[in-house]
Amino acid sequence: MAMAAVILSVPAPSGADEGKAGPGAKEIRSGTVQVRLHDAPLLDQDGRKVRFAADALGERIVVVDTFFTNCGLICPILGAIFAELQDLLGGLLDREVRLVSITVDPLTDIPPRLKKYSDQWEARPGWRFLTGEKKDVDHVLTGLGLYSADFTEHPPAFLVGDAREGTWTRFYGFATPEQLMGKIRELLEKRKAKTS
Amino acid sequence: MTARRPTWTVLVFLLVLVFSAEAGGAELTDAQKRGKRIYMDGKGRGRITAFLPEPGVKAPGGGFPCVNCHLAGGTGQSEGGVQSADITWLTLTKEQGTARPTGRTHPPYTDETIRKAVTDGVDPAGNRIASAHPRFRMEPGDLDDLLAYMKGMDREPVPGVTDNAVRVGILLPSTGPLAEVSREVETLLSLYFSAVNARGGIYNRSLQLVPLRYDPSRTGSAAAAVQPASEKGEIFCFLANTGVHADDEASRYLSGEKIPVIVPLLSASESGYGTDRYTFHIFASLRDQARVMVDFLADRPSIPAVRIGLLYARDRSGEGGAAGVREQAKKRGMGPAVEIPYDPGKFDPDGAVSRLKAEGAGAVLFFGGSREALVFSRSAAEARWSPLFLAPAPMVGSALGAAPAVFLDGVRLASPLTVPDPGSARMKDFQGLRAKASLGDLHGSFQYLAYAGAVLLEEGLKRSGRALTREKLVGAIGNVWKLETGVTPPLTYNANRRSGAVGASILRVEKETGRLVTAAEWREPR
Repeated sequence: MAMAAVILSVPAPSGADEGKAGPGAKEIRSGTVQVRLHDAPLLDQDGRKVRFAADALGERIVVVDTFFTNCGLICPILGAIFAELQDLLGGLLDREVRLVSITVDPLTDIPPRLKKYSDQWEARPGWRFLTGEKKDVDHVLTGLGLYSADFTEHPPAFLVGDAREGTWTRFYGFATPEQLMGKIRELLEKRKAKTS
Repeated sequence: MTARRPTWTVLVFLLVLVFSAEAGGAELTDAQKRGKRIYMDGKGRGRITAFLPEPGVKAPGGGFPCVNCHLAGGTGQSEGGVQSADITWLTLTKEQGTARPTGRTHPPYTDETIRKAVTDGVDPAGNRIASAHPRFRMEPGDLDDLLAYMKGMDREPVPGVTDNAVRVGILLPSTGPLAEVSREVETLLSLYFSAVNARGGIYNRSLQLVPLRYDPSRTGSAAAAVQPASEKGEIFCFLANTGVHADDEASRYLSGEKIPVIVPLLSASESGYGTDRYTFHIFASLRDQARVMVDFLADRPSIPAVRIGLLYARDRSGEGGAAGVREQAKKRGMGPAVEIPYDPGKFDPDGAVSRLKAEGAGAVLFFGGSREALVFSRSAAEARWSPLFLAPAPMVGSALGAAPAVFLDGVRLASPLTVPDPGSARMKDFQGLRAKASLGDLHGSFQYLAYAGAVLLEEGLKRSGRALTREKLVGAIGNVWKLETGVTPPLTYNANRRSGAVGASILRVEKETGRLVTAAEWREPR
């Protein structure tokens, strides 16, 4: 079932009014999507071998985005959104929620480059950057519906879901950290309701 | 078709090849160096943050270094429909002001209005600049440093490039088995560069070869040779580095510094994960050669359902070849192979022969050392078993020349080389240089590779234009399509491909002469 669209209606910022969405903030469309979580072997920013589903997602609530380190305009915005989201998550990060950034240019983005990139964002444990064999990365991206034949044209999108489920929510465009946080809270509540 | 005749000598080389396992510019001031760090890395003495008005998020400044959009030198670019401004000092401050692509105009920038543009996102006329432009928060001292750097960044020298020369480094072992090879390669490239320079150079710049010698018996020696030269800005790029493996500290350093390396010799190219954007190889990886070997089997009409025996060493080369076999066998619907991995130095040829024979393997694909290949051939002959035996020539070299004749009949070797066309202009040029230097045939393939690397570099420099940078060179070579070098298959590179000639030919041993002849022409894997 399609999720209702989330509309941003936050006032425009001035120089002293940071932290709120600006005048250019568009209506962000979101919807439910079916994903396939391929358990392909990948590498994280520390060069550790990880299976995508079993290790990187690890049955957490997960937010996924894509990037490549040579990207100048789009990916840094996605990165900034994750950077703020990790602050909003506080102690939930890694314990219950993971942020997973998958490179779309695995040939260039070897672990040391990912490490440097993760340092740029001051990423904490629980925000993982993934690369690997191109065919494995492409396989994972295809399962998530995030594959682009031309990696420079990868769509700005976030996937939010429960790694135990196949139905996820896709945000098309630059969702705000608050929007993503709202979805995360909803999924955490759902889990709690199931276990209680 | 006339069978071409590579010789065992070529293969001896191949064995060794893959498996022996700022000039002219003013110094930046301290403030400019700190400003450069802000521009390049988004990091100052104090904390820097970036606020993005459109999604309304605040992020570490490191996520939005100026260079990402405005590029090194500040010339700006167009990406994803967004135009980032030319922020070179001359453009920002020219007296007649600036008309933006939107048609908007504003007075020339001053130090103060640039500060406001960086921190508040407004131009000198008070217009808001692009919403994609972050508003930065940084300490006044950091802002001063950034301005100091911006004032001179378009005149910052490119390492190794002067008004009249491009300095190209080459790492050469001063001792050991490759010392002679390195002398030949250096001589050949010096002659090649002299010929280019005699024609007027490239955009009025001469090519200068800068040899950096290292002692291969000392760990870290190559890195110790590279780092000071790089830090002093003496080298633009490297060509035909000899004997420096991909996992050597020097290779890692060059990659980390984003210094282009064209056709390193004796560094196995890798396909798939881990390919370095700044390093360009010629030949296919073992994995891709293995894929061509499987294609060769799959396309043989006489044995449509041959069962593959996969015999490989548990090391990087062996595992790479085995992965290629699995991938291609699956793609070609050939069914799983009978796999026998072995630890290097602990090979049991009799055991391997009896198991493969018992499992009905009709073809053995071998990825191990030359000694193991030879003992395997003898065990198979003793067991009166003559399967098709395919191996990459670079791995087994000339050792199989001593295999029993009955076994040799089934031997097929994958070679990433083609035999050059002696009539091509490039080949004639190569032969001319070789004759001039009185170089022999023994290290012919090293010479081929070095020559092909020089052709590739020359092409890349021409495509990069006079305003040369390392990124431009990498971009230019990364778009080369079917470049004829005369001595290798045509070279093609793209964003996902750093081996120019991904393919192999299949050779067999001619009974009458014992020479290697072509059994299947060079081709790319399907």
